[in-house]
Amino acid sequence: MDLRPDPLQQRLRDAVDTVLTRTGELSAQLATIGVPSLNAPERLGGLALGLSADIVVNERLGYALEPLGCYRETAFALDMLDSDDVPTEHLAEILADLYKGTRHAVVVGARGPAGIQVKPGGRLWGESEPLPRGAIGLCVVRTAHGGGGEWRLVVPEPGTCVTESIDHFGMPASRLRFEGAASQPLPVTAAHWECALAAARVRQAALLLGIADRIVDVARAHVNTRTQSGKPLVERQTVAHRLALLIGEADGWRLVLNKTAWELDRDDHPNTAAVLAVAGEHAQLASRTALQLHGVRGMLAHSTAASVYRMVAVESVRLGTPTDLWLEAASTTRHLTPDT
Amino acid sequence: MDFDVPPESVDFADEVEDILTAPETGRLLQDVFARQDGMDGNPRELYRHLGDAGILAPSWPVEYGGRGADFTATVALLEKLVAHRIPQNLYCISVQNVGSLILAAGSEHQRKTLLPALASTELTSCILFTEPGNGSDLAGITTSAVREGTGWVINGRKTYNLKSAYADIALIAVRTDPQGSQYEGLTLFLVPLNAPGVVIRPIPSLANEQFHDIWFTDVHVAEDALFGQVGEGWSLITQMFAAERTGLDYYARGRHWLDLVAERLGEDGRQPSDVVRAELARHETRITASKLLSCQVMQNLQDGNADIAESSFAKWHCSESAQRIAWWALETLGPDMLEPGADAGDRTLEAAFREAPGMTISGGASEVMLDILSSARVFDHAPRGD
Repeated sequence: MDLRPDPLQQRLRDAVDTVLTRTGELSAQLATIGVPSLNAPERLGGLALGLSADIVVNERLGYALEPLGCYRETAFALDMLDSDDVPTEHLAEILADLYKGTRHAVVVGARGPAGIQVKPGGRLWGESEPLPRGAIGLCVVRTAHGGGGEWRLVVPEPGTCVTESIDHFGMPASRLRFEGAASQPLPVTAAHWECALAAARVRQAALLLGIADRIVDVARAHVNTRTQSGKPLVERQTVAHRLALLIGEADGWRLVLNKTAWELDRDDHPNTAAVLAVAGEHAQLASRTALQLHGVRGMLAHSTAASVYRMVAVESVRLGTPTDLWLEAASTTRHLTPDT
Repeated sequence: MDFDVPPESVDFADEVEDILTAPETGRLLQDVFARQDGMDGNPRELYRHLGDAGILAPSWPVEYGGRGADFTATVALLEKLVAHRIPQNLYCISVQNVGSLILAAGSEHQRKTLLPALASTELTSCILFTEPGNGSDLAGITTSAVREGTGWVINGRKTYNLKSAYADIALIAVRTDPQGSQYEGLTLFLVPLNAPGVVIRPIPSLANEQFHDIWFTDVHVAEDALFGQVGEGWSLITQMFAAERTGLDYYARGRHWLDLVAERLGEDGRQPSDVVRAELARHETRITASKLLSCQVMQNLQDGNADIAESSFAKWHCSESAQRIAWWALETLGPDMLEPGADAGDRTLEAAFREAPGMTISGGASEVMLDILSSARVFDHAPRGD
């Protein structure tokens, strides 16, 4: 057992941090250091370094307050395509663009069958949930067909697939409107779906812990400089202890996150619902505490505390609410599963 | 990061399991539970049985009675001891705390003479820091040691100490320079508790384990009872706290209690409600974090990178997690949890509920642990007046 970040994680962290200091379009800049191809499946031309590496990328994006949802959506979609049963030869050009960061992929209906209908000839009609903003080159869609949902693959075409830019709780987002979009069935087994979803949850958890770390740092800087009654706020135990708790708890959750990623990389079946639930709750608590400690300044529309409050609200429920995730986690907790 | 447990530690865990499930261990354990001494139940004979098997100090070097194993062996040992209901407080104080300090800071003579005896539990030690007037505020220690001839004379009173009645020696903090600063005037001694002038009196506790009052009246000790240098007590205590506060024993108890609650919830084919199941998942995830934080501290200790802030938070986390589990057990299982079982040893959850409040007080109160973490990681500068 070795609970220190490994050299690959440290190098990747440094590389991502360097990219985050540059100007220019972030996805394309990340592509220069091999993100997302570093972590994409080998079958699709990636290096498949695994989630232990991928969580580093997402944590640093979170810390930089650059959620870059299109990166995780692309990784999620590629995991869905990672099957011998899915022909991808015709997607070579799109895959190349995904790895260059000029286009990205999305998964529609990740939280349950979307309101997308399949009409004769495999044509899709309906609207997606809010999705990250960006140039969408590939859609993996769960349709309402058959009750439980059926997965289909769509290469968006301008005439039948419209991308609208929307504002989602103050965060830039997009919505796809399918107007007879051509699609092909995507054979996704339950096991394959669970595997892809587990990885997506771990990436999202990493992002949330990164965001939480950043807003705690922002709050920490604030309470060290803001004085009241002649002394810095941090000298009040009620203030210092709240931040100390968030810092320490984050250390624990980060270890749980790393363990979960490590287990997934070894094809174990860790409780990914639980790790996303704790990351979501931790980020929510961190953002709310930071806003409280900033006082009225935190309520200003463009303050960092307010921006993060919005960001966490969106990202902490994107793949399920903590309440739902805990219920799911309960069903896979080792104590309550039949084989234990 | 790598979460694999080395095969040597897996083998060691199997070996410990075999020893703990042996009939002789069971017999000795029942003797402890019978509490024929009217106190906690004397674990010495049980400990000696385990000590003879050479399993109690796995991470110490072989020449001092250990096995030179990785820290994961110690984790496995504590998990097994708790799961088999072996009383572990005297062991933790004697081997994990005092023994580890001797290993890190004792003289070679002390290492060679004391460590093998502690590892086999032929010798056990308690810690005497707390005093009646100052509690655990060690800056206020008034118990004194004064040079006399070639030795020292100790006078004063220590209180609220655990396991003193079962210990042979005590690591005691005393003031050797009343004129010096609150910290520089402290010195540590290893004092035989059978020395003339030592009086130990038990104080009943809410938990199963009693506290003790210990009086030192003109207790004469030889020069070799001195541990470290005169005036070096504060830095040694700080060093010990970094090693003591791994949180491991708290984690192991929380882990065991959670397993017991889950077992009770599923008894007779019952299916707990969604709310209870979700809470169980929460505790399961949290106790996993506790274990990993504890392991991180232990790995850093093994590598010589002790960090008082890191270990203080691990202690906070593990004790809070275990406490929450004990309280949740009552909230979830209700009055059934308070019912006595077939024998005293079966009342683990009831005892856990009584023990729980003390977990975040002893070994470093939670508020103090957060103060230490705040100083290290929240403050840009030391608090004024510090």
